Amino acid sequence: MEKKIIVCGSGGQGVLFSGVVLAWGAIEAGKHTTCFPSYGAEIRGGSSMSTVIISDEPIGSPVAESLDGLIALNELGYHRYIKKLLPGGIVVVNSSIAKVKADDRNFFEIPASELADRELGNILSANMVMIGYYIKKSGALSLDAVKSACEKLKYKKSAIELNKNALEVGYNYENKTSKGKRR
Amino acid sequence: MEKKTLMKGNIAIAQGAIDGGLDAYFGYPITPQNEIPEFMSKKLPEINKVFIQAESELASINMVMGSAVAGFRSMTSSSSPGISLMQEGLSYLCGCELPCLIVNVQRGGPGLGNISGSQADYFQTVKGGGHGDYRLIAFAPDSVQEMYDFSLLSFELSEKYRNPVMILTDGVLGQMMEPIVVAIHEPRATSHEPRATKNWALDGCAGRKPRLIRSLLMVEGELEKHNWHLNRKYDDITKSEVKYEIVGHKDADVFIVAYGIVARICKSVIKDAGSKVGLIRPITLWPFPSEIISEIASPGKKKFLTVEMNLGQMVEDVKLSVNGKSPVEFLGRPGGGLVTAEEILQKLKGML
Amino acid sequence: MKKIFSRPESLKDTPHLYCPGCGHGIIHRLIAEVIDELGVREKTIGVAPVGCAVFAYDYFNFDVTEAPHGRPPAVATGIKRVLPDRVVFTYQGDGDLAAIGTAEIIHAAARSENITVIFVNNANYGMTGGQMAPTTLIGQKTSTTPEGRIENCHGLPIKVSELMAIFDGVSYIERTAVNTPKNILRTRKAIKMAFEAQIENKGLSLVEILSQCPVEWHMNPVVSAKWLDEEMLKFYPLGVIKG
Repeated sequence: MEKKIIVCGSGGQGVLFSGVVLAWGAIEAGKHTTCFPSYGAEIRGGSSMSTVIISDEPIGSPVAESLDGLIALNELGYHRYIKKLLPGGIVVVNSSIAKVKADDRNFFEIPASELADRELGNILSANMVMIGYYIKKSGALSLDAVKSACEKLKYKKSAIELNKNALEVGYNYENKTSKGKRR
Repeated sequence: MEKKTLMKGNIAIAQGAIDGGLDAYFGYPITPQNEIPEFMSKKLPEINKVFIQAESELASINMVMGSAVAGFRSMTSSSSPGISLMQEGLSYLCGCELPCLIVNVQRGGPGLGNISGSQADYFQTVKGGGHGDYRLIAFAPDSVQEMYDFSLLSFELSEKYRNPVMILTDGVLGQMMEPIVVAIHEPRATSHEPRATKNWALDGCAGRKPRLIRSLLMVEGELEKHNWHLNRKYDDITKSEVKYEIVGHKDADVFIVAYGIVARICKSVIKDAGSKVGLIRPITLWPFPSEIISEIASPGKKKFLTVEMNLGQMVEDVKLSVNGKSPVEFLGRPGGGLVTAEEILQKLKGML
Repeated sequence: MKKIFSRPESLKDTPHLYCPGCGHGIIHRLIAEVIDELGVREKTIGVAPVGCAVFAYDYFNFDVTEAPHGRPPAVATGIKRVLPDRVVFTYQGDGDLAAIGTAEIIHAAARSENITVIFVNNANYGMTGGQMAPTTLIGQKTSTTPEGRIENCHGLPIKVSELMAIFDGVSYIERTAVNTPKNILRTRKAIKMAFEAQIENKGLSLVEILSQCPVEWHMNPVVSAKWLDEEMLKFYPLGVIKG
């Protein structure tokens, strides 16, 4: 099993953090993993991207030319990396911000920012909502593994709880619309 | 199963040095290694060790010299342009026979270049960017685990030979995170321990004759004598400290020679390329594993492919080691380009 | 018979190779006397420059290290930070401190490093053959200003003591000279004050010592001592600049 995933968005959305949570989740699941960040010069507003590879075998390059998973927190990121997605790859998009449509059965939308604001009272948790949703749709990791990962990151208890709850919100989200239109 | 922790390459270098008994870190910010001085600025004061953000890389390497002269475990880190500024200091450190650790997280060049990983400082590291006959003991890790391990072990090695150790890594390994096992270590209780074994450090001449540390030897014949002494030391290091890894079968038809991040990528290629391809991964770039390469080279039976992220540097040492016995081809990506498994496979197809 | 005068213990029994009439020999001795008087010989580590005093370690009878040109304040910083209870000083000329080493001395001052800097100003680069230094006076002839230093071509000389006084991290600066017995005695006092400032952890201390350089000034020793009085003191006034 090998999954090459990119999490992308704009600076400040917690893209790099999301990558770290996925990587720790992979360790919790006993897998090999690498997490490789890349970002622009701007502190906020520029683009941010993290490549996470999860594998049963030792991993060579931490950079992925083709993807099994794309988690796009904003529209710019989606358009930048969607061409790398392999057939059968899964893309998860934050529909609160990114207005894109696709007729691909592996294209999943979730209004992560709205959910984060409404259910958790903190719009910044949208990143964890996206991760929770992605792992549900892809089966890449279990919810327990990523929740366990939150514990590893040595933040305040309240932050850890918020992240775990956000993961659950994403994991349990049901997308009521069953079809989309052309990408 | 050993407990693993997710760590970034740059942090692994820093943590490894601390776990290896680092006393003093001096450095200047430069991308892509800023995590190292930032980490040090937080951790070293917590354990009563010295941290200074110096005014330049030039100042950093000279502060390392000061701390090393006094017998303490000293370190600096930088990236390619900053390492260029340190070349004078490296020449002095080697001439004065001072132990220390220098870390180069390579980025694209020449000049200001970019901030992506590269391998274009191989010549600078092993052929000497500074003046005079000197050698740096140079390690090339290919994983975050090795970043940690080599950093930890560098001080002992450096003190054993009274010579600087360089860890040559790059912006990709420095920025990536992967699970590693962190050593269980005894925190060093007092910084007197390493200095007790030093019969050359300058710590004030109480109870002994005054000492002198210098590389200037003007008396006729003295400098030549000193150089021959250094040469004997370098011979000893060459005999005892060569490290390399071989992946695949010794009777493969094509051997890739690569180090660091490129070797790591090649390892995944070997898996897919079958039994006809092997990999020789130099772990020490100096001393270079010429013997094993020479052993493997065989007229008519073997081919070599050197893969590097530069315009062709280590390939010259591979050719010297092969000494004409087999063809040596080259695949390179300069200027911060990251070589891909596909490119390597393509090239191999043409050679097999 | 009672011994009332001898070579300081901090000075080796090695004949100096400095030129006749040069100030270095005097300054070395003064430093050695002060170190003896303060009883810190066994705790002292000196950092030698590149310049005529590159061989200072052949004369001082305590631990001394070489440093690359201009870098002594950085090397001294490394030593003092790991051995804060030792007495660490640099000995530098005008090329070492005021040309190639300007960044290092300024930042050591900015960081308030507890080191002592002995700065020997003889208005030229002696060891390499008398070239212009940042401290060369306007009109002064050197091997690279054969017609004399001209402002619009060569710029103006640097007053190091006044420059360094700006930094809060510097506690003591004095400019002295070694061309007359009175000045020599004052220099000794200044060196002692500077080392005491270090021992009392007051920050960086600097003594700028104007020195005659007969050979490169193309004067005999007596004339050079007078030239220092008549020309150098006009631009580089003696006295305590800070502290």
